[in-house]
Amino acid sequence: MSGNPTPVDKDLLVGQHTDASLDATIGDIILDQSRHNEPQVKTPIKGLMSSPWQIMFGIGFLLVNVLLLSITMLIWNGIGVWGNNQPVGWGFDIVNFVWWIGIGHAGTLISAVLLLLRQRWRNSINRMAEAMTIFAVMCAGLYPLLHTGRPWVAYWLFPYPNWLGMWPQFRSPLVWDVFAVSTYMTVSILFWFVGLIPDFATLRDRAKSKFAQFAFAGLSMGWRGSAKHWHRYEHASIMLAGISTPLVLSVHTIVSFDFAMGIVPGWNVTIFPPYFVAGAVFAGFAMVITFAIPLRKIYKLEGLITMKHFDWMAKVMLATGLIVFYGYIMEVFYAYYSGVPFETALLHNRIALKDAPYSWAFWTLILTNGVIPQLMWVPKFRQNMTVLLIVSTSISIGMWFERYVIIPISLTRDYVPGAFGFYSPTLWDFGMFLGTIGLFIFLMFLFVRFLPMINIFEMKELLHQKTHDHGHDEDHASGQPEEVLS
Amino acid sequence: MGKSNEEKTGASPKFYKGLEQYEAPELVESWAEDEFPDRKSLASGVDRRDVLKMIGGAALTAALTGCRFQAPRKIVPFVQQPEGAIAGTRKHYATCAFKDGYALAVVADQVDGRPVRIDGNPLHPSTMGGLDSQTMAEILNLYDPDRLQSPRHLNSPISWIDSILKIEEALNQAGNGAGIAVLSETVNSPTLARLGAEMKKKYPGMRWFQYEPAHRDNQREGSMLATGSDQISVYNFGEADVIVSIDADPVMRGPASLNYARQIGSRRIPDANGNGMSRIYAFESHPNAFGITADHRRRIKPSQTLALVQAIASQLGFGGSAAVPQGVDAKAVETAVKDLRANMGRGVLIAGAHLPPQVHAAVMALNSAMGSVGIGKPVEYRANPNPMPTNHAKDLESLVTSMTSGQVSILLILGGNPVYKAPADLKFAEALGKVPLKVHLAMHDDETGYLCDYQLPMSHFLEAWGDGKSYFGSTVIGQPLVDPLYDTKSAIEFLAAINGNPSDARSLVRATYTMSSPNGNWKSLLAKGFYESISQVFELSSRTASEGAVNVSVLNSLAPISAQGMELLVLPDPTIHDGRHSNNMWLQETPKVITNLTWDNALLVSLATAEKLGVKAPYDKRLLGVPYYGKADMVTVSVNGASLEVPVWVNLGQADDVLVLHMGYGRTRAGDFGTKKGEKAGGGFNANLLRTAANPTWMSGVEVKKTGNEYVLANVQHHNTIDYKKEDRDREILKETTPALLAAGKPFGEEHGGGHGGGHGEGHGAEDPGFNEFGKGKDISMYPGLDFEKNPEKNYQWAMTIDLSLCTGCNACVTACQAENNIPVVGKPAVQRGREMHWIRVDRYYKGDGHHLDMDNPPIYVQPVTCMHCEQAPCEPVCPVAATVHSHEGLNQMVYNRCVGTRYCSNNCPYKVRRYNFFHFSQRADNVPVLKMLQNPDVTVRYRGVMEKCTYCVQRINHARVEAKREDREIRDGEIKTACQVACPSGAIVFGDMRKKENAVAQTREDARNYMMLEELNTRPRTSYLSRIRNPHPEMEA
Repeated sequence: MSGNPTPVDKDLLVGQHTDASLDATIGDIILDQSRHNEPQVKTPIKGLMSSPWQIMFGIGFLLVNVLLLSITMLIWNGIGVWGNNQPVGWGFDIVNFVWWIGIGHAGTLISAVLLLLRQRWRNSINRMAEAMTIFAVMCAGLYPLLHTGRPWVAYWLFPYPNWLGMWPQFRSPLVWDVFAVSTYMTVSILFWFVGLIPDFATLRDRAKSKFAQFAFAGLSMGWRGSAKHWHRYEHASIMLAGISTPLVLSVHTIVSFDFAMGIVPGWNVTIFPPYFVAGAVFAGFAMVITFAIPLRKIYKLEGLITMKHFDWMAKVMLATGLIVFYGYIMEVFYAYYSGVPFETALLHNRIALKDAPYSWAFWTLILTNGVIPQLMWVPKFRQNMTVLLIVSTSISIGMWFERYVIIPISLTRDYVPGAFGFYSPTLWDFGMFLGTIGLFIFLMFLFVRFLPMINIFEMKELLHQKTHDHGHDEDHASGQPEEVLS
Repeated sequence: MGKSNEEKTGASPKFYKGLEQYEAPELVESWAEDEFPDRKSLASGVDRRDVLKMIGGAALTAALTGCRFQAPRKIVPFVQQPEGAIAGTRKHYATCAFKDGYALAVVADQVDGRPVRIDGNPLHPSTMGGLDSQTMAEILNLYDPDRLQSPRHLNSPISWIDSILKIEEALNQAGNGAGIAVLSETVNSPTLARLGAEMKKKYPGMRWFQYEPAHRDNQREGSMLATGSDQISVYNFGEADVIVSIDADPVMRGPASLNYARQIGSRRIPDANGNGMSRIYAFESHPNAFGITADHRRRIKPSQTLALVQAIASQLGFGGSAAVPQGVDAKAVETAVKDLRANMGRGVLIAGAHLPPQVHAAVMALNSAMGSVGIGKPVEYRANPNPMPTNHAKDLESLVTSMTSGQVSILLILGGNPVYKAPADLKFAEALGKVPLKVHLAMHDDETGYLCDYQLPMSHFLEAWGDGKSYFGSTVIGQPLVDPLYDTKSAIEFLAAINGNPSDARSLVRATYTMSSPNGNWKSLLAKGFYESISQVFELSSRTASEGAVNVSVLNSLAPISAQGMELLVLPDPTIHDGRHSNNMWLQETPKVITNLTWDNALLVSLATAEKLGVKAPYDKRLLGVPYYGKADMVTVSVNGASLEVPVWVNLGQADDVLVLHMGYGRTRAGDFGTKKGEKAGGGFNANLLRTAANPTWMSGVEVKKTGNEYVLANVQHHNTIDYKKEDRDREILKETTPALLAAGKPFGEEHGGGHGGGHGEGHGAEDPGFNEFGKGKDISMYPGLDFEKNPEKNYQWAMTIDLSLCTGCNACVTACQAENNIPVVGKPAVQRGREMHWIRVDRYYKGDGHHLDMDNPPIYVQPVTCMHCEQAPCEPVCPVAATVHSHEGLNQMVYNRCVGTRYCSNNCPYKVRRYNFFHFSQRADNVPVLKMLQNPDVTVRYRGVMEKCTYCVQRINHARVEAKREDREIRDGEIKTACQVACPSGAIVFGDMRKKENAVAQTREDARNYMMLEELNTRPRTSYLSRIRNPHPEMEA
């Protein structure tokens, strides 16, 4: 590393912290398991008291069972349990796939791109964002697999040696998807795990129970915090960040190719790659905020995830949201300007209040994704948890509707009026969707309970920089504080 | 064994069993020790291979004996293979099917002993090679798992011998037979009529009644009024320059529709100068297949039809002073009259079978007055060829009267289902209860059989010898393709048996024809399928023509039709007919012409009438703001004291205050698919409950009231309009022109005449880069040429053209394709979701002027759409596993085994012709043994999760390829006909190798009217269309 690191913003770490207090604040969430059982609050079920963790985990667990049931129904009966039809070959399945992949974008962006750009404000949220990336990609990955009519032969999409001498058909964007998503998944997991190693070592050292000591010892892979370790760690991080950065752009670009390469009016759009990437970052940050607000409250992490963080994230949301909104405007513009009757008809079919059966979806999208995020212009709202939560939830809904408008609704009316149709999802479509949301919640709360949700050593680094921010930054330019070892 | 040891150790025996015991005692001993003396010789030669062979042989024997479809006496392994019998090859047999009481000459295919397909017999005028949906779907009726399989008496099994003996005994007790009544459907078979006559000799008091709902009573009575005898009108539409349809549908309804469709089609394409095309005026109560192909289509109430004919007559100067009825376009009538006058003797009227007799009388008289009747004229009046013509409604009424008064002691019902089909006010079931002995010979355990003492299973026409008279007068012989699958008898066999003449049906049929001298030998007669010589059957049209003594003055002395309030038409269903095909899943799912409804019937009304009733059009129905397409309001229809609650479907182009309801639905006992199951599975509503003996098809004074209930109907086409909104108009999906414009070099009409797409106005083809005629034209792609382009001359290049001028939208191609390609049926809920599997569909469009659609009477268009086999198919590059690929012959192929089912190809198909197995739709064909026999062995049955689509009948191509290679030649033009092409009654589809300019398909592709759908996408389809020609009168708009 060379050059001056960005000056540390004092607001990124609030309160009187020491290395030990940071260890305790973050590490004790894992080492003191009883913290997840409090505070006991009243639940809607009479007489049942439960902690927020228990409630959320319970919801997640319940929905995971819904997911299992939905998958069983699907594989037992066929794609017909969903609402897909002719002409709408892709419905909730691909909508949800793209939605989840989008949500999975914040993690890599925060950990890789912001690392390379030395944005220190990433430190307290990157771990959580990375975990969300991995879990979101896991949810996303279920869909392309299960949306095939014969999932038991879905491995044919991978290039593997076989007696048929058959390769996948490399011209198909779906094959590109397979590579893009699996690469993204692999790199994200690696990045995440490498980043966790020093923290595992901290937890190993602080753990009281034998089991935790053994478990974390194994996971920390012999980390002793020597200078050599730190050196290699730094190199690995930078390399992984370098590998991940193009992935942030490539994954959603390739996902957008599924549509942009198609011939369907409303799909065949050159603006899709940047528009999808911006949308993905937009959705990813919204989801990070949605999760960060309650976690911060429950686990009293106000000092670590500060107002400054939310302010920055809101700004990123606003910026990417504007790019996305520009995309919407462009879609309308070129549909009109092209003069192609199919595009004009598609536009009409999307936005007309009277004749277009699904215009409600488009206008929901404009409201939730275009209008409501504009609240983020106001600094006060960027600091207001309630407003932030409303806006970020609205964006998650909006981004889902964006894909809904693009995918099934474009398909309902494409070229030949005689083949026009309608699309309506079934119970099992919702089952799958809620199920993956449940899986996400389930995994997130397991993560919160068993892994450090905030990067301990990076916070220490931040603390170090904050407390030593009086001119000798140079000494710590490489950023491995010796006193980190406890 | 012990004994032999004893002998060995004991004293020497004094008595020897034989010389060998004395000479070689060890050998004998070894025999004795061996329990199976012969085994050793056997065992020495048996090795593993032999054991496997034996197992295989045993399995084969077991398998062969397990087959029921060949009679036991024929189960002989082919030690010496019969000449011509090659496993897996098709044999074609001419036989006889029936439509609306007359015979159709058909050809049925048989593979390895089982019939798999029915096509028209191109040698005979009754089909001319084409065939309708219902007759093609008869093959499924043969294999219907719900068929009655063995005789039953009072719901317990009985043998045929016992039942025949008991019935015979009962007949004998009836003395002179005064209490014997026979009720059959239309008697069309000369053999059956002969046996009936023989029976009558034995029982002189016996009476024979005929009833089927799609009868020709109105035409018969009309003819009686006009000529004094029952004459049929045989039209020669090829000779007609002007056709005026009075609510008729000659291309889909009636026994001659297949012939008429072809003949009308022959006059729908003008010559180079724009001449020679017929002009059709249709005055219709509801749009039908003929009306939508007409040049001018106007609405009329059924009650006004007589007045209309009289008005035309008076304007032509044939007396009377009838005015054009109110609400009918007087200009159109005037123009039609002008055309008729200009083409005196070359113009003709035709009336719908459901119209009252007066209309038919007036039409007959007017045709005669115009000089259009006679040999070589547009219509001929001939004696009814049926052996026992009668008035069905009167027959049934007098039978019910006799039954009610206890005069009938034995009722033999030979086919038909009168309990369901009889008009409700006759109370047939009640009357039936008063008959002591009721015998029902039928293919199904239906509503009638349930009430009868004997339920006797009837053979399908493909299982039995039979014969029939075609509408064109010739005699068609029906030969069986298979021995009865079950323990069944045909009506001929049954009637012979109960008359103590149990000879087999073949000799019974043959005996009918040995009476008169057979025309040629019996074998060659069977080979072509009919009695007369080939030239004779076509000549018959002129030879036996008799002008009849038409009383022209009858025109103005007919009793006027009086009507008040709303009028209701109860017509046979376009697919399941009068209910005889209720359990035919193919027909249940074949979209009904124009409405595109499936699995149910509905009350069809015009939009204005719907608004008057306070009923919403289905496309206006919403659920939580989202369109709930197909949800229909229900109404109660009351007429003559009967009432029925039915859903309403808005049918644009129908006359106001006219209601149309189809028969055949609302069955209570019709098998798995036919029985009414309510909203979820369909089954419709029983229109017979509204019919009365006096007014079985047309009723007036109908009351309709909205009930507030709703019912979901399954429709295969969701969106209604093209050319209505501007965005839709610019889609050049359907193109049309007129003869004058065509002659002027504008094959796509005025608007798109010259400039569009590089000017395919005149002589496009080769010059037109947009057209990409194979191997020609500018290469407008930056990519290298496609594989099959590199060696164009080496390979066949398949292509298809569909002439929109000839298509009537009858859906015969849909059923033909379904039968050929083992296409599964998906059921009502799946159709509602848009998951029907038909590889070819017929799109229906209403045409507006770009801003406005005439909701009362919009011009209606139809367009068959199937896989276009694009040269640059958008489906191919998006498949991740290369399951859809292009052949070097230009076929877009689907590799089912490789398909993982991502549906991306379907999304990317601009024509949306791909079909996906959302569930295991072929399960029924897999699980029901008898349905397995129906499957075409040349076509793979597809599994769940796999995409499928039209293959251009690749199995037929490959079959022809094998034949051609064997004979070391190229495949000839016309050698391959796709299933849809064969079926098309008007010959709209042409298929073949487009490389050679002399080939039919290359010729049609060179036609000025040829265009590709969505050509601007540069998909370069191999299936192209010929623009539709409308021939409006110059003085009138369409």
